[in-house]
Amino acid sequence: MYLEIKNIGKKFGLFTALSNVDLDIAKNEFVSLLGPSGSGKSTLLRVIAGLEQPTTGSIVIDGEDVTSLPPYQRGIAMVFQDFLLFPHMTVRENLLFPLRMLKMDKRESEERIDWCCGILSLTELKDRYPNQLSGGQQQRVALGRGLVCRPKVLLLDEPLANLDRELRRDMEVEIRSYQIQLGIPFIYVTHNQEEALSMSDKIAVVNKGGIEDFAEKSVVYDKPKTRFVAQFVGRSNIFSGRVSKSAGGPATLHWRGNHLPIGAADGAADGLHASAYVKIENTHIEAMDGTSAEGKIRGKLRDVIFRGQYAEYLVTVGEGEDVVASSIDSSTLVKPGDDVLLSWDPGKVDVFADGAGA
Amino acid sequence: MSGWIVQRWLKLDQNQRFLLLTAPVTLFLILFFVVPLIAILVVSFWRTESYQLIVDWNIDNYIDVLTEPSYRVFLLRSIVTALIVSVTCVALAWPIAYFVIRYGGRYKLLLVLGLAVPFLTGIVLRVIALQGVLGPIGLLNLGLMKIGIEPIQALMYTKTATAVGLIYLYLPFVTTAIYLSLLNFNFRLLDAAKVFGAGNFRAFWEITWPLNWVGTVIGFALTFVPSLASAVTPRFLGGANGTLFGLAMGSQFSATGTWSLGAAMGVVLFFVSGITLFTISRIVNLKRSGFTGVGSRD
Repeated sequence: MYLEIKNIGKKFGLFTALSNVDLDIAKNEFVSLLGPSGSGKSTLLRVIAGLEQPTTGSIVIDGEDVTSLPPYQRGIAMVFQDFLLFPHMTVRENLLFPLRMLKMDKRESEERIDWCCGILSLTELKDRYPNQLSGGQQQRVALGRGLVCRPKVLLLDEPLANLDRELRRDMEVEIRSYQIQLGIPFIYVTHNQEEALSMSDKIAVVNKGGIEDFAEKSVVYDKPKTRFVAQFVGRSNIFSGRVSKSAGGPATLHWRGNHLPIGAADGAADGLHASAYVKIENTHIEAMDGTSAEGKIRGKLRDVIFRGQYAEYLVTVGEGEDVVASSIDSSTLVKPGDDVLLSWDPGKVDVFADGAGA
Repeated sequence: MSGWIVQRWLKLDQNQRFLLLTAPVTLFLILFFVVPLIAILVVSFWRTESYQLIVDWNIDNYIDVLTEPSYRVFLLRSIVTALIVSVTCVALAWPIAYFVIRYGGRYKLLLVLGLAVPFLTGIVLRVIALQGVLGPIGLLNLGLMKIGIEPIQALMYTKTATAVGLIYLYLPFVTTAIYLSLLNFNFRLLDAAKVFGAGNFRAFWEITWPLNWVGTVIGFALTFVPSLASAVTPRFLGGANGTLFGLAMGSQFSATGTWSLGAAMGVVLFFVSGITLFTISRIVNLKRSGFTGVGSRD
């Protein structure tokens, strides 16, 4: 593999920030490290960059073990969340900095800078100082500084977190296009699942210093490997109960007197407790009009939240507990106060066994 | 009554409020800074005879100051001393300020407040106390003799002793100036520098130093100007051959009573300081200092 992260562990004193992290990343892959704050994703990025020394493990880039090399000998570049442009240098000088450090000759440097300014539309801004630029422009310069030296790997640490929503969406598309253009791996740290889902080829879900799941983004989304991933990626309704499973047949979950279909339920054993995660967009809502309520949940529609492209239906089931169903069809013939039925495709349920005592 | 004041205040525009708020300080500075300086300038063109100021416009005092060899030596000696002292102070203050900022943690403020400890007593007492360390029977030399080492002649009533004294006096100012500069410095910029190819030393030279240049220069000026004019320190530590320009100037106002000559010396000193500050201001490019808000957004 082009970039190999092997058994990386990092301790800060008694605190374990990372443990047993393994990731193999191909040359043309866009990988997101997705996780909540404090999960260790930024630390992992800093270890790859060489800004932190790992306690265990090794990093191999393009066949070379770089674990003990300082950042400037690794051939990597990084885009930081707060940009970290050099405030005493103009845009041109900021872009020139990595090239100067590489002792690149003048003519080639100028060509690189022109190329960079061209693709990032910075030509007009070359002679400005960072404090004369808007947030989006600073972001472009930061990205340019990362690309100008044609690194082997580009690391991005929540680079869009400081931008407003619209700008963020444009930049997502642009960043992805540069990655395809350059054909180098981008490793993108974010806590924003939409960003991770829209840009990446693969997503590594990071939690408590370890990798919970590392797969194609659609796999991570549709077939989460662990309970944490199911909880963190997408929005799900959670039903916990006892599982009934007969050999070869589909499993059901006993939940408040209902027998809910949960597909094959590989993650659970007969007679034991488990939780079923159903994504809100896989939770269907229909009016209760005399059709069979077998395997469905009865509820009362409490409210409809219109989200633009889709709507969310808040359905009260049992004692004040809400289940959310979302549908792109906001004209569904139910009104708040109506009795409704909720159901799902048993193949789209993720089941995880509850731990002892749960 | 107070309602009337509030109403009047609300009627004022921004500029008027600014004038009103700065008026007391402006008055104070005019009365106690500008007017005395003008008085010195005026007196420097007069004449003193037997402790009497005589209004007799002339430039003899300036001719005296600039042609009398001893004054020229004093002035040159003062400039050299002030330069050495300021550069040494900057060189000593940098590591101190850097250490406090990087490793001070939550004790940062406490450590910096420590710089104020010497100010708990007056300058004369502190300089005289230094005599007790550096002098012939001072702590240092006495100690050396006790263990059988020759005392350091260079520290007994010499120009070196004066320089040591001045460094001791002004180090806290320089350290504070550099500390304040480093306090506002984003050390994460060094991460960026390292990722983009700079080693530790290169990162310091390319990023840390230029971005703290203004603070360093301010610290330098805070030492240079008072060192140039120093009188108390050479008086107690400098000995017979360590007279500095400031000390010579001071004696014109006391012992010899030649006030107009002293005033002319003061004006010369003021000019040297002014030229130095002007030169310094020319080598500082505020745009390059990393200060935000400099330069227009067009």
